[in-house]
Amino acid sequence: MADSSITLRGVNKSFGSTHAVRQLDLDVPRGSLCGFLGPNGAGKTTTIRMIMSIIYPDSGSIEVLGGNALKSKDRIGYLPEERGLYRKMRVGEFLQYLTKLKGVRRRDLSTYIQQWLERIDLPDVYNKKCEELSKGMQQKVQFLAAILHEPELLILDEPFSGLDPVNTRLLNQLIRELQGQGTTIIFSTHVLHQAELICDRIFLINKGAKILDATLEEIRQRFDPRTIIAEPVDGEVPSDGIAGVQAVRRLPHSAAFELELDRSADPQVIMQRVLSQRPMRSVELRRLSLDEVFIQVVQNDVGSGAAELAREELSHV
Amino acid sequence: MSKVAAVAWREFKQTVMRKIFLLAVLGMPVLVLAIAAIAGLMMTSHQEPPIVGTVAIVDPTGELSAAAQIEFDQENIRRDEERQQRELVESATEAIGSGSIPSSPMTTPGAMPKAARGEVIITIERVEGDTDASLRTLKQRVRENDLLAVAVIAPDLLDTPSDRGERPNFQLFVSEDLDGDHVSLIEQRLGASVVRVRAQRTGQDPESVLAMLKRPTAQTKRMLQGGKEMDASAGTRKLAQIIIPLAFMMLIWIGTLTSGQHLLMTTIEEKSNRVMEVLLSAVSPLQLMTGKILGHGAVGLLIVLIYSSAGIVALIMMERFTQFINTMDLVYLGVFYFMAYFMIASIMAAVGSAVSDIREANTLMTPVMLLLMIPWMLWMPITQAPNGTVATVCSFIPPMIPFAMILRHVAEEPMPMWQYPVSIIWGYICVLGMIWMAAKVFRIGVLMYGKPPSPLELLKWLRYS
Repeated sequence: MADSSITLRGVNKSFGSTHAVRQLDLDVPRGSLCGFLGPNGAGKTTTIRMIMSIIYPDSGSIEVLGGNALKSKDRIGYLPEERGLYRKMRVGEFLQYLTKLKGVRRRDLSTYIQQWLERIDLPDVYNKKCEELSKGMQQKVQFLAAILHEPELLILDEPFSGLDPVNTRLLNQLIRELQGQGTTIIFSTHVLHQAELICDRIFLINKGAKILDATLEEIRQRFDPRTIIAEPVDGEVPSDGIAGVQAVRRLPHSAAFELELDRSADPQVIMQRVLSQRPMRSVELRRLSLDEVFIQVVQNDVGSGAAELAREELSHV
Repeated sequence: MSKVAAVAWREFKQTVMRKIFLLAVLGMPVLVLAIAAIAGLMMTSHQEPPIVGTVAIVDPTGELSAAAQIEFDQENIRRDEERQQRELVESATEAIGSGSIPSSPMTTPGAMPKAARGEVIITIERVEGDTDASLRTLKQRVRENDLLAVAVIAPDLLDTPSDRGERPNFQLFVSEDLDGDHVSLIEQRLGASVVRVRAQRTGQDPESVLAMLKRPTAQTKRMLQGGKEMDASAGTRKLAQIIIPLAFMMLIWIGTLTSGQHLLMTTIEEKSNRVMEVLLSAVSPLQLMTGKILGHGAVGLLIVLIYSSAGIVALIMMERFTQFINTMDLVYLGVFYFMAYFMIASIMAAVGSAVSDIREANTLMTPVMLLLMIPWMLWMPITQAPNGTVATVCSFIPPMIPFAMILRHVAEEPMPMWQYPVSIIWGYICVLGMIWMAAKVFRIGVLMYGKPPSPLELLKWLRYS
């Protein structure tokens, strides 16, 4: 597909008797920021490694940036989950080495790298050894290694792990900037609310197969809980006689109530009715969080113990 | 190709620019020389403990005891030892100056002294009786350290032997505490005493006979085309037959092993640092492995160049370079170095990629190290018979090919010409095969963590795509 950065068709990959990826079809629209989600062992890293042509599929086809995955390596930036640096190498030297491996030939490479280091608040580390940096600093250096060659496609595996809120915001800002410049970004994470904040498309895979592939808006529509959250100023229970409201429940540890709507009810009309009933501190249409969608989808995945896995996974987040 | 070059350059630079590398490569010859110098100094400054005591000789005629009195004379012993020391120094000086090595000439009945001896005062006690009872008594005195030794010499031993093939011996019973060198001294002096008696019995001057026993050494020269002469004495031949092949094999062995070890270590380091996946996002496993092998191959070549240059400079200073080395030797050194290196490097790369840390590597490295010891086991047999069965067979079995071939090439006895191209072509076919297998293992191994594979599992990986 011409407007796709990545196209996977019928991709299969096995390791011995383990079927890591099965019949996977995927289209990543050019310029999009896609979340690549799934429980542990779902096949995310295997898929990413195949996209990066680090490993090869047993069958099926992978097209990256309109061509052979191997030939596109220089146009892809990759931040793997398993981060690695040469401990004894100096930061500047390390970044120069990786950038050169990505085919960059610039005379002002050291100046260019120094400018980027200043941009990520690491102005004094160029001549420091990698082992002298803190974990967060190393993380930022690795992020830089993934983007210095100005990739058309950027694959980030858990980019925020180990970062404090200030640096998380910085990276977030850089990711958005890159997307604004037209870079396609795939973002694999377990922190689902991060994906919810920045992604515009979500791929969910489980047991090596795709179980969800939609934009965030489509997901919100598909998984609309048809529930309104209302918090009266006086704390009294909103009347359950409002037309279109099936049931009213008080939310635990809160002054707010949950109003479950009929199938046919228009949420906008109900919200107006609630507002007209008595003074309200807030009235909002509830949306399912990505966490809830994740559990729901994984739970519905046929014959899986994956929901358990997903819950377990979320409990660690 | 530029990626392979970038990887190779990094590997080369990161290895060579390390202080530990410079220390190891440049410091090793200095260390060896220092150890040799210290050992030499210790040997020359070492003094054997003094020895004072009596040697009893069962000697019915009294002739042998009289001769032994002269041989064991304190002044005689001191003078002989001083002469031997002097001759040894002269011999060594001459050997270094002429590009030869000492050929251990037996200039006197005594061997070369290993170190300066302490004071030696040995008196001779003649025992006339030759009965079992008296011998038992003498042995008991030796046990009680009343005597240093008892010599029982058959009377017919004192006659000049008519049959040249016969080697009549005498019996010597020595104290448990007697130093080995002192035992040798007593043996040699008693032997010389026997010769002295034989000379007397045949009416000859014993001193002249003993002087006649000094064997002269030949100063052989080879007549070269163009009017030149080349030294071909025993010491020089020994250098050509043993030392030069050994030096060539060691150059290849040290270069290969050192660079192979570095390759193994950096591969393990990249795996344990988890930097491997970052690298593989930029280069293919084959490019990475090729770059690493080339980079460390250059490291090994640098080592070979440094050491061989030192050897060449030494030979040029001794004006012996053209005598022992020709251009083709250096060409073959390069050909066989790369063959050996690529064979060992492919094994090291495969092992390094398959394990996560050095501890795990040790298990897989044991058979590899045993493999690397084979050249040392076969060095002597191949050197002694460069066209023998062992040498010929080893010239076609990897990874022995380069080691056997370089030993045979620099040996004095030329090998059949057809074996050069056949062995080299076959060797490099084997190199390609080994690199192909290593690439298969490397591609799977670099991303594998956890339990290290067994050698059998490594073979299974060859079947994976």
